[in-house]
Amino acid sequence: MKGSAKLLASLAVAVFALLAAMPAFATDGPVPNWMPQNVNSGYGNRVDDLYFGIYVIVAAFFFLTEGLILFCCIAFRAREGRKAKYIHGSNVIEVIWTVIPALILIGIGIAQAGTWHDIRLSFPKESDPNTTVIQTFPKQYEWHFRYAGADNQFGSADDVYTTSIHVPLGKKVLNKLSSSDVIHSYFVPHARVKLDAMPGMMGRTWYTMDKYSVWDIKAEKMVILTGEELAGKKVGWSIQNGPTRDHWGFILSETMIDAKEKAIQSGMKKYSYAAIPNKTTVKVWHQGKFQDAPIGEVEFVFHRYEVACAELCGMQHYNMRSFVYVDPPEVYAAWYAAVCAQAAKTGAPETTTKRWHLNWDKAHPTWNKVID
Amino acid sequence: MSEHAQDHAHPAPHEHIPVEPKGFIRKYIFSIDHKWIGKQYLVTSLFFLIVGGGLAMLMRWQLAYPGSTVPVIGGLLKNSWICGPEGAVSPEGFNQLVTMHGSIMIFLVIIPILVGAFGNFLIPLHVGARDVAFPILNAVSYWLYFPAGLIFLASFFVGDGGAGSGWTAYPPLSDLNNSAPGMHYGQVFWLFGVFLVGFSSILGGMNFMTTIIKLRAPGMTWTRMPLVTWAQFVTALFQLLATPVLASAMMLLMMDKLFGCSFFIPRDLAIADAPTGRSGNGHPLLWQHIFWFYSHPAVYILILPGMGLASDLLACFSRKPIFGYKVMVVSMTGIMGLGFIVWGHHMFQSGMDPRLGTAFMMSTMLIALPSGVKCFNWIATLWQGSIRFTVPMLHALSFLSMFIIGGLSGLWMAATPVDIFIHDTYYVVAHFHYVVFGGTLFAVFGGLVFWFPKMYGRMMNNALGYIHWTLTFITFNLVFFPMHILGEAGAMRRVSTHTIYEFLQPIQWMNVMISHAAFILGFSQLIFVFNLFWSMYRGKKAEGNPWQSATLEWTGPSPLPYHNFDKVPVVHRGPYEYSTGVGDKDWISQDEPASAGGGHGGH
Repeated sequence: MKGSAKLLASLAVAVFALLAAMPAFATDGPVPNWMPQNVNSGYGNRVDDLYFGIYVIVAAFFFLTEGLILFCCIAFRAREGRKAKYIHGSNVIEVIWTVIPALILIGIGIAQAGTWHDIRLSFPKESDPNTTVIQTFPKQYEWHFRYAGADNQFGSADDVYTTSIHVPLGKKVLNKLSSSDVIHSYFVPHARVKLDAMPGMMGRTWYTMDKYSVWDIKAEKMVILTGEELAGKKVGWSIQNGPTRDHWGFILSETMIDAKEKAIQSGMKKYSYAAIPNKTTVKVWHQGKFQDAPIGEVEFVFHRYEVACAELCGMQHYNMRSFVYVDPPEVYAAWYAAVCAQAAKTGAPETTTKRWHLNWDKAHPTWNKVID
Repeated sequence: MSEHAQDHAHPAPHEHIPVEPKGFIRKYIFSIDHKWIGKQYLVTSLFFLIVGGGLAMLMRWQLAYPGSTVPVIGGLLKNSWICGPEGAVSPEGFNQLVTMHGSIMIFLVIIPILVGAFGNFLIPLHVGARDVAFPILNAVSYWLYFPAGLIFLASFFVGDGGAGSGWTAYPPLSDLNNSAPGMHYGQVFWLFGVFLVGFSSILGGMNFMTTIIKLRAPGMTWTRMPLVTWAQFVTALFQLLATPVLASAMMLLMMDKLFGCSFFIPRDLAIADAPTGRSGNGHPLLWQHIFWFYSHPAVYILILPGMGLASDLLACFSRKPIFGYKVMVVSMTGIMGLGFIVWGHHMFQSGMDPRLGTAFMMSTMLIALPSGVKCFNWIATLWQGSIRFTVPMLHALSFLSMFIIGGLSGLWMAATPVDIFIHDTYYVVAHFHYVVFGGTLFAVFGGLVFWFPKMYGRMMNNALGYIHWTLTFITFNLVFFPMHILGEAGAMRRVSTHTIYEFLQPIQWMNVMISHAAFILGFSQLIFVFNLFWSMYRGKKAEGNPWQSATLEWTGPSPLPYHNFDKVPVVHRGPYEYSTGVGDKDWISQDEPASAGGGHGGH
């Protein structure tokens, strides 16, 4: 019996030490944090603060309760001469450990309510010119987006249809969501945004992206920079996200690591940007302006934030991915002008427009009416 | 005191002693003996535990090494619904694995083992009855559950594969037969299986509730019932009130699938741009409301009996009465009351009216309270005890410490703004595995080792028990704790290949580590299964009360006779009269005469 007590104590200490140490492996930030860096100044920080606020309370209860269990296991283990105390309970103690947690729990709830209201019940006005309105209408297993086009009216011939989105830095974005087939869920981890795209109704979510995702060509990795941090850099574009063909200087390649076998084993992909062959100079964004620069001087390429589907939607659900590109406002304006011009010229295929008109306007749950 | 207690207890049940049938079929197949039916549930649910665990192993292989051939059995699974031509798990196969793992574990393992096995075996013994109130109905419950399990498994082999819409079966994915592979016959089989198992559950709940209300032995007042039985009583209430709602949902979805109705299909829906042809005046959100109205209470069906088992073990091996018995009972009923008004927290991101989100957040915060109070009471039970680290006790302590982690992690998900980020991530997976595996399964393991002597007349092997617990405790934490971090990093659940996402690639090492720990965890369970079956025939013969426990089942020999008690016992005190300081031994059985002392346990 004594041996098993030691076994329990040492095992329990080892496991709890391991659990407690896990957050120490975390990457960056003042608090141990594995979350993707937050880039949504609309409410992302508030979500993170609430997360870590709960973290502190939970950690206190975790160490209190688990510590007490460990203490009991060691101090009150059965041994020669030890007699348990015959106690049935204490009303005073029961009241104390009911009332205190109750107050804490209600406090946590109240602390969340305001942020929840600001995220889900208070939206930027669609009529505000500073709001970018994007309709999102996914189908298995693709993300489809629509901008209003030059006439600023959805449902007209010049609507812009895309499979990834561009948004201007620091401006509010309003995403309206529905679905033409099954339930999908629009998840942008870096923006702390998630909302189901539910067929038969329209959901709304909003956010403000306040940091750029750029690719560091030398370091071969994505970095997240503020407007000030990026101002002195020379940033180019790839064919995925350049406003016009003139801006394209790079190709994003998603190549497998090493041999196929190794890639299959690890499942890893490596992303890199290669210069478009025969290009010697490219347009870059530098000091708040479009400029020409030798391709060798380009330090960064505008990269993207990932969009995932967070609701099981069928066979290729795992691969239902899209992107949010955050542009400087002037770059966004140039991109938007280019895609509007293209849309006015070619229009959208009939299958696309037909799908977009399925029940979209009727899909209006009661609560949307309330906040309108 | 005892005479007084007897006055307001139920009158003695009739003294008719049932006779054990002789024929093989009546004795072993269609038995109506609650103990044998309990064992039938036990063996069947352990079989499904191995199946469900095996599916989890396949999932873990894919998550650690996406697209690579499954070792050992990859060749056998080539070109199946699970695996592609190279023997690697296919995307649609992964969805089926996710769905069937969850469904099997919830509907065919945890609920049946807790309610079917422990409920059946223990309730009549704990209340001092010779059997349940409706023995034939009891057999019917099992014989609905068993074919339901077979129908579940058969769904893998019909049409183009098993159900693949998750255990939550959200329409329109689960509703439209052409929305994905496995959504036609596989999904119909799944629905029918859940429907049957739901009926089994309703019949069981009704039976147990009647047994507890009507068949308590003289002197067995409500406050003298062991907490195991109280937990089963509250669970039976849950089953009676919530499961019919699930059965209705299954029926509605079945009507959608088989007869072209549109309960959950809105207008103008199209798959691959082709209209579905349904009239479409229903709504998918309706399913979520109905489903979670059952399935959140189901979460408590999954944990409450485990709480009961752990309560008995913690008291017995601390050699102390349970701290705050009545508060424990009130907490359980509180969980039940609140359990019916928190379902919306599964739907915070569904597009449901956000004002409802605020209301459900507050009710969810409050339901943490009774669970928290129970944890404090369990710790207080350990306090100043004389703790014996037997194998059942190690499992009970693991239950307590792991359930605390599972309960605490629920707070993040209850908080609506925080839930936006962690909803549908591995955070949720970590949370519910800490509750259902860390909580319930540890309690089940502890309970099985504890009551094994009463079931089979032998003790389970101690050395194998310690090895199993040690490996399980360590690897369980190595598997599920890092999943909190995966969730914090944003890793989505039900996704077969995380490495497709740039933001998840840096933490792929964690998936690999988790999978290796999971393989050891899976292997460790085989030790338990081996120990169980080996000990049935080769274990050390058990005495009547090997754990020196105070409840009624320990007053007879091990195993108990067919009729349980030669004479219906008269109960004089509560179930946890340990270390009273009266007499030579440190426990007093519930049926010992009042002169034996131990006055506090129940009135």
